[in-house]
Amino acid sequence: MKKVISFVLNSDPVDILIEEHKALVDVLRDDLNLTGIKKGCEAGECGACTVILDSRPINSCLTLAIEVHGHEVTTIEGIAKNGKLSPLQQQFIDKWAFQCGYCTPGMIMSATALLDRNPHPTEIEIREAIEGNLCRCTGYQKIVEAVMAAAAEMDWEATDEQK
Amino acid sequence: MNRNDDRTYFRKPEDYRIVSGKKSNYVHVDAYEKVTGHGKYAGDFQEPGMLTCKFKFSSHPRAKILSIDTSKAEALPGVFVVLTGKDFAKGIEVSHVGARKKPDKEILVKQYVRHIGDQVCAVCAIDEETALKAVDLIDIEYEVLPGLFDAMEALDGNSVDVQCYGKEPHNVGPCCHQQGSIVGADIDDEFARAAYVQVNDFTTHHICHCPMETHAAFVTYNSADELWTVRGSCTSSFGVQNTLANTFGKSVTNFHVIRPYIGGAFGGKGGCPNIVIIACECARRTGRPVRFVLTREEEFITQQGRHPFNIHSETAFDSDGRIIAKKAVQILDGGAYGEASVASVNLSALWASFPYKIDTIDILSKRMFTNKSYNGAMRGFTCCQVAFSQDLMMEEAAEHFNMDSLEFRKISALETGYKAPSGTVITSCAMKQTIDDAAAYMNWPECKKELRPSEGIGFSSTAFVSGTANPLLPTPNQCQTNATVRVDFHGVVSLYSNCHDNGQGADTVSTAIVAEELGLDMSDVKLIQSSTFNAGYDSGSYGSRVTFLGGNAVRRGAVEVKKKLLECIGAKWGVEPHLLELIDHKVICRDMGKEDLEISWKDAVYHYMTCHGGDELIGVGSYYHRTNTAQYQGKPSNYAPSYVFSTSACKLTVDEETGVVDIHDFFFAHDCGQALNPRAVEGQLEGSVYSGIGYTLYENLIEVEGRQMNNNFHDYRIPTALDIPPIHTKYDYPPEPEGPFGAKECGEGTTAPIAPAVANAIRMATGIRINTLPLDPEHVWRMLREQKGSKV
Repeated sequence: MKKVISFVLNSDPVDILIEEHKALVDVLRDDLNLTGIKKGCEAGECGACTVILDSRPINSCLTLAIEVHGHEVTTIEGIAKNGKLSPLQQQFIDKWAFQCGYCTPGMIMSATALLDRNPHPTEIEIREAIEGNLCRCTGYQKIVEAVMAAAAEMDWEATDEQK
Repeated sequence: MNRNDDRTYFRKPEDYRIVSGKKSNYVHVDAYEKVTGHGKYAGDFQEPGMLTCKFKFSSHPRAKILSIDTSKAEALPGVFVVLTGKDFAKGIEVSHVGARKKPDKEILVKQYVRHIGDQVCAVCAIDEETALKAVDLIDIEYEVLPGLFDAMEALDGNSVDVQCYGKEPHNVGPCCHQQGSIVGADIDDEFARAAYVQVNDFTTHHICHCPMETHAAFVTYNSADELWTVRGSCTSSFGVQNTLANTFGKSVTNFHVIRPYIGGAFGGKGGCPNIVIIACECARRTGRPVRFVLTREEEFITQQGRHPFNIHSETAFDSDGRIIAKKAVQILDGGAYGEASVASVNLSALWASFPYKIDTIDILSKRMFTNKSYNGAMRGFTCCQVAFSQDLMMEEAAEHFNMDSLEFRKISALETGYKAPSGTVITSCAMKQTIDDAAAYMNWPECKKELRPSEGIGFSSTAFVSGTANPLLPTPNQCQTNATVRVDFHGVVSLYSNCHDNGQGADTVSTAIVAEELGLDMSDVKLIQSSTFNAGYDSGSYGSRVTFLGGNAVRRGAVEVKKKLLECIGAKWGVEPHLLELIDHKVICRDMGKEDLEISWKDAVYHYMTCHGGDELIGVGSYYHRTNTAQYQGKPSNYAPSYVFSTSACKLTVDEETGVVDIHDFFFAHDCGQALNPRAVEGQLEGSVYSGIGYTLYENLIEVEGRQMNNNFHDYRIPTALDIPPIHTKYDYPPEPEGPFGAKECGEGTTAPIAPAVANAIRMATGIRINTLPLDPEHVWRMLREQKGSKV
């Protein structure tokens, strides 16, 4: 069965005809060509396919595409605004928080959702937030550093704006 | 080119700007693509009309195929191709000069399946769903045969013939027997005169690489030119190209292998996987683009993971605690096939004496076949297992001598200048310093007094190769890597190199080396995302060779550019060219009295091209470390151009009630010579500790009667961000004279000293004797009950 769904994708409205049984990750990658999000296990274990649904990080491999009808979906492709990287993306670069980069999009999505709901996370809160994102290269230490640094930087930027 | 090249124009350490240790801190050249999701991995490619492939796997670990009926699958609408073993005359030829000549693995199995992951048929269809339906419609009739699942049983000549080849003796794969003495001693005499002989038996378990990106391939075919364009998650483009040419009976010119981003490899993407071969055949038959991506479960059952080992070792010490001789028999559980098995036995024999000066050795490594998923290269290629045995042996021997275990290790530690019976020549070695640094970090031995109950500290020291001597294919001069550096009249530098970046940062370090040598910024050097047709040969990312060998090649390419340019400018100024240098986008002059002379990089290049009829400024570089193939027969041979040394230290608590090990702190000292980028080195070391902790405490691929019981990330537990302790690293050690700007290996052998450090710490915490891996709660709990009984 096919069905048209409407949702907001990276700030743009989208109407698309999809097979009802298709997972969100497959619709995003195959039909909308957003290959930034990755598939690592298709069982909700690795987090490579993490996207933000409204404000919540979800595994797009465990989510049917029809479930996002009427909602807002943000993928890694929607994080940079007007060509400018987010502070977190920049910190991932500066802190060498990736190596192969395959888990990076999902990792950045989980960490972005964390910083959106908790701008001052502790180290353990960061580790808990990215626990569902497996990284096989880095040992996580530099990822945690990058999230900490981004939080500090965003805090500084916010204070600066208040002045 | 090699270590004997003229170094007149090599940059002097005082002029280093980019690779100068702590001060240097550049970022990945592919950073933007990776943090924005724009970087394309093999499975990300798609084109209109693209078809998808799926395998039909064996249902049994060992069986004879009686019949295959593909008619129903072929009749399913949307199915384009159904392939069986009959469609391929040859097996997969391994691109390795030391490998067995005859392939032992078929592309699709014709008669006998030998493990559960054996592929019997492949389907190519309009989409994944249709391909999966077609796979289910294939009927295969088997005669189920008894299987063999234990490497030690395989040693018995009367055991089941795993591969069904009927050869005698069956089940014995490649062997390596390293014997010799650099002091002309007889090994039995050495054991007879020994003050003490430490005898041990060890076993290790089975794990998998688990790169986050599963194997993937994307292939297009141009029938007019008979040209296949191949993008695969593979770490040796030329190896893939060579295997494809042999398989299809074509020339290498028919295969354009392009390197996409690789989502981690850890040794598991070195060969030409048959998904690439199948995709090529389906693209040829249909004329359409074909994509083949493995699922996680398929990745597990087809992966060539880390060999389980059985090790028996006997080590002879003199009365001072110095090792004088070692005998060992190391049995590798190879699984169903061979592939890279030559290197696994050869290297495991080499590691058996590392990281110590052992003048007299008799080391036998044997790789056995079993009806299980087969094993190959995995980060620290067999060193993780052998180092586990070596280091626990040293810890026990130190106890016998009643000596401090670190001081005890230092007595026999390798040193610069040592030439081992295995043929290895140590050209730089900071092993003792790494031990001292680990001791200082832990405040050893004073810290022992402050330990609480069930708390322990463990150390481990290992050594590893920095590069290899094997170019995979027969190449001129055994050249392993070729690089080209080209400069246009704007002064823009293009770097052409086929060193594979699996995520370790090969592209970044190559760019940094060229920029450093030419006095430019990294943004002035553009690395070409390479392929087999647009850049020179490189044998691939394996053997910890890329920075050392690839780095030396790109450096030599840059040095040739520099030499040509300085000779031209020197003639213009009437100055000896070796008195000129490239600094900060300028040619400067260091000739006495002419220090005011300078010309910008861009103007200098323009002048060069003007003087050369408009020809561009181009430099080529290559590198080889040449040995004979004696290493594959266990004869003395200096396997690598240099060697690296590591010591790790960890502090942990064992919950004796549950067997849970909690690591509080991990320290890692690594002699990688000159670090070319501190952040990259730290990342490699932290990743190594992570990988080693996974191997030691979490990961264990369980196979029952050849069937994997936990081939998913729910049941095969890889460490998460909550499982990894704080990691501290140290890597400032003297430069290696032959390394590019003094650099050596980092990130592969560094996985080896983790398991023994953890085991030694558990031993201190609990008093139990450990001789097996993994050290997950269940195994530790059992060891505690067995060894301490009701006292726990």
